[in-house]
Parts: sequence; C-alpha cells; structure tokens
Amino acid sequence: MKVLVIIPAYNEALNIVNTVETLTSTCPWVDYVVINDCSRDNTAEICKEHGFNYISLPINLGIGGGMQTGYRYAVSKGYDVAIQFDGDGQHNAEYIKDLVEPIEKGEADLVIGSRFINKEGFQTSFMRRLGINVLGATLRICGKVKITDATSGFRAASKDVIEFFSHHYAQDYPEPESIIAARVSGFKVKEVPVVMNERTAGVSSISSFKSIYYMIKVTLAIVIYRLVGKKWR
Amino acid sequence: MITNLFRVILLVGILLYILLIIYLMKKGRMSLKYSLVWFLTGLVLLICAAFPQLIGFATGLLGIYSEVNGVFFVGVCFILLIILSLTSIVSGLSERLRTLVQTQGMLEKRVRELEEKLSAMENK
Repeated sequence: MKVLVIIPAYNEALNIVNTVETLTSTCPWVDYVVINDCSRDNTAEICKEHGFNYISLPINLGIGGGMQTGYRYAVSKGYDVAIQFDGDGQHNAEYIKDLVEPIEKGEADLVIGSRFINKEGFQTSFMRRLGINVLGATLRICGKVKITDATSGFRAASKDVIEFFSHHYAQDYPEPESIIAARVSGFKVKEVPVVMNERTAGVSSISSFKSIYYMIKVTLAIVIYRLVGKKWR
Repeated sequence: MITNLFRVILLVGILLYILLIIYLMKKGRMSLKYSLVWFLTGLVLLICAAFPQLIGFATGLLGIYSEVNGVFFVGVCFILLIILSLTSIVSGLSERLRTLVQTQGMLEKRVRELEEKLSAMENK
C-alpha cells in the first residue's frame, strides 16, 4: 500500500518543521506532501530550506482547495491511501496505521479519526462539542452513518475516494461536507478512535466569531447535498 | 400617461445606456456573449419609451391593474434572473480558477525538482 500523507499548511511556519519531522520519524513507511496554501509567513522558505516535499499554491484557495491539490497529487502519483494530517501539530502520527487499517482490510473507503470515541486527549470546548454533536446528528439523518467527530481533519481516503475527491471536494468547510459527499456517492465511511493534541502554536482556522455562521452553513450544506447530490460513477 | 418631456429624458437616458454598452464592448470590458442580453434590455426600454401605450397593453395581458406595478414587477424579475446568472458565472469562474491554481502549483513543484536535479548534474 502506497500511503501519502497530505499536510495542508497555511501560515504554519512555527509548527511545520516539528510536524513533518515527527511524522517522518514516527511513520517512515509513508510519503508526505506539504500543501503551502499561499502562506503570508515564510512557510514556503522553511519547506525549501529543510528539503521537504511540498507544493506551493500561488493563490490562497482555503483548506478545501488545498486538500484537493493533495488529492490530485495523490492521483497523479498513483497512491492507494491519502491521509489528511494538519500542519499545526494537532494530529498524532502514531494513529496513521489505525486509519490505514480499515482501508487495507476493505472495511471502509473513508476513515475518520475521532477524538470522542475513547474520549482521550484534547477534547475541545463545550460549545465546540455541542456543534460537533449537531453536525453528527445531521449526518446520521442525511447520510445514515454514525459520526462522533464530524469536524475531524484527521482522515484517510481509499484510492476510489481519492479519485472522487480530486474531482469533487467541498471547499469552504470541507470536513463535514466531504463525509456526506462520500456517503451520497456510495462510499463506506468509518470512524476509528484517535488522540489529538492541543494546538502548540498559531490559531485555528475557525474563530468563535464565525462559529454560528459555520454551523448554519455546514448543516444546510449537508441537507442540500443530500437533496441534490448524486452517486458518483 | 407620461409627459412628452419625460419621454424625451427617457429616450436620451436609454440612448446613453446603449452607448455605454457599446463603449464597454469596444474597450474589451464586456464579451459579446454577455452583451446581447443587455442590448436586448436597451431595445425593450427603447420601445417602451417610444410607445408607452404598449405597457398598458402588456400589464393588461398579465392581469395587473396598475401599469406602474407591472413595470416594477417585470423589472424586479428580470434583475433577479440577471443576478442569478451572474452568481452562476462567478461560481464557474472560481471553479476554473481553482483547477488552474492547483495545476500551476503541481507544475511549479515539478519544475523546481527538475531544476534541482539539473543543477546537481551540472555540479558533478
């Protein structure tokens, strides 16, 4: 199994070296690519200096467009599994093998790493959890799938899902939207327990100010996708 | 009915409007594809200003009592359609832009790696 770890990075100069070095020492059997989404800090220079494998986008596309770049790269290099691994140090490389396993066994096409199954490690704020539960309920109704951590960016995609995502990928807040997209398109989605860390530096892409807008938008997007989305292939 | 003075003002205004469309096309700021619908509106406006009794006829056909209401109703519907089509155009453009940016990013990576390989070979 050729495994690619996609590391989306926007202004992650403080975290990126640590993230990549921890990844390569913990999981030497995977390849990785950093997607520098037109960072305004010196993320690109740091990647170049350290000889990282990276793609630099000339225009900021946001997390959706950045991840899609990674999936397109995975298609062009023929990878079997692509894993999203955030550049801010929240995700723990030890769990990559747990994400790959269900795909290897053919149990699932999209595997989400959830921090709420075993309730270990960083659990985020109460309001955030409330929102995640609402999204989980929406996904259960619309996608007939049990998701405890819909906003988790720590996930693995099989070869077919990689191909699907390289053509269709939700853009603004893609984590929950891509789950319903995968479900509607007929893919199997599964969650496995992981432990996440608190961000070591930098700020999250979702500020509390925008969180209400985020909730409304994503819930609506899931419902709309259920109504208009169609099976892929 | 409208006064003759206002009819003249309307006609001049519409003429300026059509000239503006031609100007934008000449400057290359509006493509032919999108200019047709605007020319059409100019034409409709021109006909309405020249023969205002047509408005009464059309609103009567639609079952609207007041001519003014009819004009506003049709105008708002038309504007909604135009805005909808603009949103659709913008969505298509951003989709194409995204694909382009992604492809450029991947090509930049290939070029960078090829250049590194080349300079390593030259230094041998």
